[in-house]
Amino acid sequence: MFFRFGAGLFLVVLISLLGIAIEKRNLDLRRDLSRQHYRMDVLRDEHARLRLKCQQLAAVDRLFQTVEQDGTQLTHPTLPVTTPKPVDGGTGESPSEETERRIPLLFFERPLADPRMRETDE
Amino acid sequence: MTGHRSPGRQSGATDPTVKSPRQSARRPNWRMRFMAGVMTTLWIVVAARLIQIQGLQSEELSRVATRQHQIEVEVPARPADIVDRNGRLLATTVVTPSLFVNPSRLDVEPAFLQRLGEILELDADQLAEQVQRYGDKQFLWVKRRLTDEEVEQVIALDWPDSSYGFRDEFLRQYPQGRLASHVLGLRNIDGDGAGGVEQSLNHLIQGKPGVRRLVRDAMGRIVEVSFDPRLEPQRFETVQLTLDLPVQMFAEKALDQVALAWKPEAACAVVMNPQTGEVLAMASRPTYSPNDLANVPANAWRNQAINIVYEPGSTFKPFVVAWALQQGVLKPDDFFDCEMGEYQMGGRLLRDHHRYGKLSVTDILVKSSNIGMAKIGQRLQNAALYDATVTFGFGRPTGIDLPGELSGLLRPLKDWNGYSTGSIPMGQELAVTPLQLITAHAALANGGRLITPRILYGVEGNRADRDSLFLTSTKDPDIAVPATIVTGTVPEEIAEWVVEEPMVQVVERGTGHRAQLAPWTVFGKTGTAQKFDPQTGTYSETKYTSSFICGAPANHPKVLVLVVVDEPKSGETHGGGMVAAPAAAEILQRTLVYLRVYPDRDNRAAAAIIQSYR
Repeated sequence: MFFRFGAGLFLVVLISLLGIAIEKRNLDLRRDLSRQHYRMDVLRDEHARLRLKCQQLAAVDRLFQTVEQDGTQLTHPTLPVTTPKPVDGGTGESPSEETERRIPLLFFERPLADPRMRETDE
Repeated sequence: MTGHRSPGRQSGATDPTVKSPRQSARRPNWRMRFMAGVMTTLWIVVAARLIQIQGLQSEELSRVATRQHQIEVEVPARPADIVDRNGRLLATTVVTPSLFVNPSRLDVEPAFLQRLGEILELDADQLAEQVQRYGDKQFLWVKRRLTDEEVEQVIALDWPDSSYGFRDEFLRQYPQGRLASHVLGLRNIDGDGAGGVEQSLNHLIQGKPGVRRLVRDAMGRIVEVSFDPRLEPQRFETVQLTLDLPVQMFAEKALDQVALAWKPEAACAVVMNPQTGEVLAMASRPTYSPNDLANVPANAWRNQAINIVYEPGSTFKPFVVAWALQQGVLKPDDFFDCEMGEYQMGGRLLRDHHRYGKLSVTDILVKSSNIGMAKIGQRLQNAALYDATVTFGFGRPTGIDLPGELSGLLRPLKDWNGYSTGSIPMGQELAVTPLQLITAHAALANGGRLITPRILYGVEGNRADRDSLFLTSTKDPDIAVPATIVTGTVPEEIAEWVVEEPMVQVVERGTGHRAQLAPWTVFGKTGTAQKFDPQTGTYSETKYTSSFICGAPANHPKVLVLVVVDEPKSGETHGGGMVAAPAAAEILQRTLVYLRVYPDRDNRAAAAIIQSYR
């Protein structure tokens, strides 16, 4: 009799505790979700700020001004004194050749439809 | 509950104190019934109450409960970023705090307001007067869109929390400064677009506000923010323009040089891809920086490319020639007697700048002979001339997505007379906007297709009502583009001939020779139009509008440039070939190099030009 009553009471308490735990977990998760949405808003604002700053610093006008005033640096960058050498002989190309700054190639758009261009190519 | 029988009384005599089994059973039954009745009544009451709460009043009570623990706040949509065709940022929005006070709870010393005025650069007396005037109110803006430093200093004043607060607001920023400021326009303090694409594309940029539900506890504290994707603000991430920022900068720099050299009233430059109608650059002088609106000259607000009209002068002549060829009244190898510089046309004496005898159609355009054009006009007559102007899109707005575009001036055909037959072919008696002119020239350059010029490249983002915005979906579900409208003008062979023969010759050996570029075959046309003087009622002898339109490569034009200079003042000359052509050629050359357009003439010259830029 006591065992049955105790078992029934235990079950009721267990289910109640389980329900409370689930409810608490649910609230925690919802709170986390709210916080994450808030963080996302803050990060979006921060992203907009940083993007703005980045674009201001890299504004086309500013970059061209620098190029026009100082000229593009076409000289080799200063290489570190201890440049690692290829252990197995590599391809025969020295590391300094790999890292040196090259003049960009002039890739012109070629109008393929133009027959005169094809003649010139031939 | 059974009764106990007394052991000493076992006789048959009846003891009145002893109850019979029936009697003793009757009382408990009555109690049980009573209790059962009470319990049943209670259960019925509880059940009735449950039915009342859960059934009859459930909606109303739910509303009350929701109102008590849930509030809804409107979330404004962040305006979409504006970027150029390569994704460079032209306009973006950041969140900044704005300061408000609660005047009814504000009880501060005058010195305090003095200090606040110093921090925020406001008039302290005016601030005090406002606080006093709205003393019974609970909300008063002090200053909107504060800087971070200002916010820190205000917080350091250590006000009571209930008397002031910050509210986040959007602040529009333009990282490229004055570049393309006329195209972009502005957003006013309330976030509405004013001028430029900010106004014309406001329906795409502004978005629709959403709703966010906040759950609060018994103390009124927010404990949860519910996010429902269906209620979030509807907005596009970016609105992409057809502008190309480096090209825009070439145009702006060239105009700066024009302004410095010729000191004009105004000037503008437009760069267009004639094959697609995309505007790559649109610049005006005078100009302003949208980030610094304190010192903007009154005439700097106007976008000269669409908000002014002028007589196109000689830049209009190629359309008349093309239309005459299309109508069959002119052949490319026809010759015209240009009367050695003077021609009496009805009651009007027409003059050329130089004395020419017989000129071919090509030479009429190369020498820009007014007499030759008047004679072509005589062949066409007014009705055909009117058709030409209408067909090439004059007299009506081009339809570009920019506000305030003028339609130009094109009088009805019934108002035309004999003068018109001579004037219209010379580009007089009608007024056009620079955008109309370059759009019409683009039609010649692309083989006769008049394309609506485009400034909107596309939009990116998932807005629910995207399909209702007249945008065409692309393969990428996130990107939509505006539709393009194309109408025919003249046959392709005629358009090609006009561009590749007379207009190339204009640059090779004519008035536009300053626009020659060694690596590319350039075509162009100069224009020098006398301005109408309203005081005298005649054309001014001192005020001119100089213009030059050019493009390259002539066999398949990739770039078209128009420079219009209004009233150049310094220098003795005012011709379009002198004033506008060098600037247009500079823009064209830099753009061709930047776009890596293959040289159709001299590859080495192109390489030399590129090296000179380094």
